[in-house]
Order: sequence, then structure tokens, then C-alpha cells
Amino acid sequence: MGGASTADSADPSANYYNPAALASVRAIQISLGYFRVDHHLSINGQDNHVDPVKGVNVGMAVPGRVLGVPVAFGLALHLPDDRVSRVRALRQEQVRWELYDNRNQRLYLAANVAIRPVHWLEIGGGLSFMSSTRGRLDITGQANIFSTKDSTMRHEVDADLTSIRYPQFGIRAHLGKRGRVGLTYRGEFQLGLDLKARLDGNISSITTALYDLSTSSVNAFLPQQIALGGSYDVTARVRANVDLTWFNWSAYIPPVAKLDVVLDIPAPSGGWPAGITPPAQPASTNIVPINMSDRLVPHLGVEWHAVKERRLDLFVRGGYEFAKSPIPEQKGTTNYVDLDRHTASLGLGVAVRPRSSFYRGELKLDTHFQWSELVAHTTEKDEPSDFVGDFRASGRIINFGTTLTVGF
Amino acid sequence: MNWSIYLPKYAIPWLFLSCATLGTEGEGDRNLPSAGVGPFRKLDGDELLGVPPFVFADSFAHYREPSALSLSETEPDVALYAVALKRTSTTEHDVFVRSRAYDGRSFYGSEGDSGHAPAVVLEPTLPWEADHIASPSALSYKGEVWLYYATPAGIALATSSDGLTFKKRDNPIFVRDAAVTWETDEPHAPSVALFPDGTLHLFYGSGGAIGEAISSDGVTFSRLDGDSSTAAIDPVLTPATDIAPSQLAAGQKPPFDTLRVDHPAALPRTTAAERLHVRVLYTGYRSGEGGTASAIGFAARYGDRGRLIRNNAPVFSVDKHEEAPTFFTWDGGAFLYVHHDAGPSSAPYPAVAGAFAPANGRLQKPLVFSDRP
Repeated sequence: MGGASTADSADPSANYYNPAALASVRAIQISLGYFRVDHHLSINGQDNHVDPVKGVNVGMAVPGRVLGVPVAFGLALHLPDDRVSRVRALRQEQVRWELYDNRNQRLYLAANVAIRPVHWLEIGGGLSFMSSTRGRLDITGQANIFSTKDSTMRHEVDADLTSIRYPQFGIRAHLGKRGRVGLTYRGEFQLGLDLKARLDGNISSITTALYDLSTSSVNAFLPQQIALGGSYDVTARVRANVDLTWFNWSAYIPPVAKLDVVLDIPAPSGGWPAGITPPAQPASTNIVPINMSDRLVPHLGVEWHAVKERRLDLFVRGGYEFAKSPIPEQKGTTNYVDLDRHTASLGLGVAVRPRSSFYRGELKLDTHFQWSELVAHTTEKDEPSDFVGDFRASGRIINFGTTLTVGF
Repeated sequence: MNWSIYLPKYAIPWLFLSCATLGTEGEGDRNLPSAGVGPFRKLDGDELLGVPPFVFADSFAHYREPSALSLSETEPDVALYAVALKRTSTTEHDVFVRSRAYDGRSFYGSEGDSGHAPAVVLEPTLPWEADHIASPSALSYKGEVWLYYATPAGIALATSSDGLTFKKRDNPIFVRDAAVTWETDEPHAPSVALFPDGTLHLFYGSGGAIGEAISSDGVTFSRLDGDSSTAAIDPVLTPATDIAPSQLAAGQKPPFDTLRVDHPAALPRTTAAERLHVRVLYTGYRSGEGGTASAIGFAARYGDRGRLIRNNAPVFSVDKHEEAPTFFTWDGGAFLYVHHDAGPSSAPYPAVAGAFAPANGRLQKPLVFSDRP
């Protein structure tokens, strides 16, 4: 549906699109799906081999009543099958596909509750969970520069994966029998990466060395978002959806490491031997602001109920969205690559309601295929002495997946 | 449903299949764009047959002032012209030699390639050469190899159909112009590049700066003005303005080329935006506590004429008196060659060292030495 689902979710996908819609789920639903997003992103005609995003999605929606009021509880989990998380802190000059490189390779867990206080209104909200990394590496001992095998070094590693949480809220109103409007807010989150390394020791009894490094970066940033959506049953078999999502990209913090180093190697008595130059203290990082812009992204979706029988439904869905890149032209020293993106999607679904002796719920199988075409663009550098120079970026992203939802 | 049948038949294989999708090392950094001019890192022992970082060394011949002539766009097949010291029982003088490496590193006749010696391709024989030739600059032009070089009388030219046997022009082709005030010594250290419009541009050192001249035939050059806002002919690159230590920002290093700039190596290209990009590597000198220090810098411009804009950071710096850069690019990256100190610090001699960009890229194991110079 091109992501136009803020006002139109009635299954575990509401955990993401609009938690309020969980309140309209009539029976316990558990979904299990798999998807794969392949990036075919090229610069100067050569593929940069940006990792795919792939993994299992699990969702759950459990309806019930409290004091006669309909309520629901939902859980959603995305479990990447390559790695649970990937962190990178690159130099700001290095060329990278900023929004596709490794931002999306995360474990995602969300828990929501929803309530329907009156028949036309649903309200929901919850929390999403991610983890950030803190680590410390200590190396102490004696380094023998004349006989390295006689060096004795001790090291300690202490790392923490600490959880962080961010909120999400939703509201949905039914306008008569055919229309719905919804509003969803998703909070901002930042995944921090803090590393400290300390090397403290004695170099062949000639002098001492202290190297104290601390680096801090935001390794993944998801901006806060507000999605406003509408859904309308044009006929008994055709539904049209439209969404408009605001992304607060201007708050974006690029994953560039802020580096602070203390290097202290005092000269030995009598000065440094000829030919030996002690290393200079590295310069601290002067981070250039990325200056991204907020964006409004429109989504359109249509669903056609091709078959609507008592025991069998068949659906065909189509969608479109356009996302203008929030990253400004990279004419200076930074090289955050991104492009405007057109996305078209097609979905097929089948729902069966068997009435056998062991199962009387609804089984639903949905498959989707999505094609994103990135509008090719050539970046012209201001400085001819730039080490990267002009480049032309282009690409496409292909996403496909399937989800099985079991209702009880 | 009979779970005792379905569980082992479907669930357990599915579980094993899930476990098979183990993570791989993350990517996203392949084929990144580059202007092909570094920053460079020196070659290490796994990438060379000889003593790293030297690709062309001999403690008797003192190879120096290299000039690379790329022989392929897709492979690092390169011919290297360099100055060598020729000794006889009574005299010694500089000559030019030619070597070749199919992998950009394993040069014919270098130390370690026993039984071979690079071909001597040019010796000082003319009176105005005064027994001194220097700074070869090789160019593939009109199906021949054109070799520009420095002499005490100015810049000279020799041509060859096979790259080994050269025929000299009778006179220098480019000499000092007394009207150009900054040319306080004879033009030297030539680097000639063929531009997309068919013209040849000569970059040269003089008076601690770098000048430029243009020619339609490669023989008759006329000077280009580096700054059209003045009436005089200006150089296209001058030394950087020095910055007092008190004025440096935290962590900022002083300019590396405040004393003079010399030894240009020019290589134009057309960028992805269809702009002419003139890239010039050069040697930058500064006064240091222990005397004059040097590093390799990068300056460039868009368009076929005008001043070159320098990058503040050197592209190669090892504090071993590195000088006289030459470089070439191919599909797999860029090689830089310079000469710098080799041997013991008590008795150093010059040798040609190799460096590679992108600096985080790794080269495969070196091939065997080339079988021909």
C-alpha cells in the first residue's frame, strides 16, 4: 500500500503503523514474516555493495476487554538474520550511502497497548526498544621494541549494551462506515557508540607511553515522525488510502566519531635517538554539520478485494511514495550520499477461513514486492583539490517479502 | 493435527535452515569514488618482492626522479623512467634508465631481480647538456614515447618509437624568459600532459614556484598566466603562506610547503560531471628544526587554465626527504612513486618508493619481476 496504512491497519502491523488500530483487532493474531531489501547503489557506475537488510518479522495482537471497554495488546519484533546490530563510525570525508549503509540493520522490538473508549475512536501507544554500546579497553605493560616476544602486555575489555527506549502514540477515528483517519507519532532515537581505550606502559625502560583515546558517536539516528493518514472504502471491494509523513531530519546527527586523544611519550634522558621521531598527538575531530532538512513524504495506496467469499478472500494492493532526499548537496568535504526516491509497490493477499475440527480462525498470507528507483544525480565539488572529486550516484532498491498471519 | 509427525518433518529442518543464515562481514565500501590522488599509504612487505616500501632501488645506481608511463587502463602495467648514477672507473654521471612492472611494483632490474639491469635509454651527450640531465617526464604521444627532461640550458625533448632508443632534439625546447620575474632559475622538473582538446601542457619548476605552458605540437610552448588579474605572467602554484604557531587552531598542523614548491606531476582527467580536472602532485618544502623537510602535495583546478588550488594536507609524508612524485591510475586504484632516503640513516641513498591509494585498500601478492625493461 506504499506505506499508506496509518488509518488502515487491523492486524499486527498496527504495532508500527498506528498502535491505536490494535483496538480494532477482533481475535488473537500472530504473524510471522520474512523480507529482504536489496540495495543496488552505484557511484560512477560501480556498485558499492551496500548490505541488504533482511530478517524475520514477528507480530502479535491480543484483543480483550477491561471493564467492558475494548483494549488490545501488541508486540512486534524484527530480527535481522545477518547480524543483530552493526556499528560504524567513519571519517566524515568517506563516501557512504548515509541512509542505507547500516542504519537499518537493527533489532527492533516494540510493545503497545490500545483502547477503544467509544465505538468511533481508538487510542494506542507504547515503547520501542533498541540498544547502544559503551566499551572500554585497557592495555598496560612493558613493550620491548628490541625483542617484541619479550613484551608483556595485559589487556582488559569491558563493554555494555545498554537499552534505550523511545515512545510512539496513535489515534484513529472512524468517520461513518466508510472512512477512517489516523495520526501517529514516533519518537526520535539515537544509538550511541562510546569507546575508550587506554594504553599505559613502559617502552624498553627507555621511556613511558600513555595513549588515552575516547570516542563518542551517534551510530544510528531515527528522526521523530508524525504520520497523518486517511482511508476510504470507495466501494465494497475497493479501498483507497493516503498518508503524509513528516520526518524531522533536521535533527539528524551523522555517525561521525568525535575523537579526543591524550598522547604523552616523554623524551628519554639525553633526548630521542637519531632517526626516531615520536608520534604527534592526533588532531581532534572538527565535525562539519550535516544540515539535513525536514521532509514531508506522501504515500498513496489502493486495495482491491478481488474475491470476497465466505471462506476465501483475495486481495490485490498497489502503492506509491515519493521521498525527497533530506541531505543537502555535498559540495564540500563531507560525502553523505543520498538521492530522491520514487517507490512503487504491489501486494497480493489471500485469506482463508477453514471450518475444520481443529482450526476455525482465519489464515492470511500476504506477499509484497517493492521497487524504489533513485533519481540519478551528479555532485560537483567546489574545491578542485578535493580528494573525492565529482561523482554521479544512482541506484535502485528492491524489497520483497511474505507474511503469514494466523487468527484464532 | 498429529504434531509427532509434523514437528520432525517441518519444524526441525526449518530451525536448521534458520541457523544457516549466519552473519557475514558488513560491506558498503567497495568502488568508492576518488580523484585518484590519495592520500597514499606506503607499500608494505606483503605487497612487494623487495625491501618495503621501495619498488626500484639500487645502492649503487641511486634511482631517483621517477616518471611513470601507464601502459594499460585496466591493469597496473607501467614503464618507469628514472635518473640513475652511472659510474665508471674514473667518472660518474647521471643517465636515464627504463624499467617495467606488470603489477606496478615488481620492476625489472630492481634489487632482488638478480641478473637483470634496467635499460639505459638516455645519456648526456650534447654540449649544452653539460654532462647533466635530470627529471625525465615520459608521455605517450602520436604513437611514440616523448621524453622531456631538464638540462642546465632548459627543458629538452627526446622521442622514441619503442620507448628504449631515443632521438634528441638539437636544442632545448623551453628556456628561461627574463621577462618573467619569478623565473629566477632555469625551468626544470618538467611534466607534460596531453589534454582532451589535443593540446600539451607543460608544468615546470622555477624560482620556487610552478609554472605552466601550452603547445599544440609538443615542441613550441608558450607560457600560460596563473593569474589573469595581473598584467604579468604568474606561476600557477606558489608556496603556501606560513602560519605562526600561535595562530594555529587546536590540532591544526602548519602548512608543509611554505619554502618552495617543485617537481610537478600533472595528470588531467574528465570528471563524472564532464569537467576537465587538472590534477598536479608536487613536492612541497618547508624549513624545519633539522633543516629543510619535504612532503608530497596535491593541487588542482577545473578548466584548462588558471591557478591551481592546493589541498592543505599532504598526500604522502614520511619525513625521509621524499621528492619528485609521479603517479598513474588504473581501474584498481592509483600508484604514487617518489624517491626518498633508503639504506642506513648514517649513509642514506635515494631509491624509488611506492605508495597506493585508496589508503584502506589492499593489494594482492606481487607478481614476479617483469621479464623486460
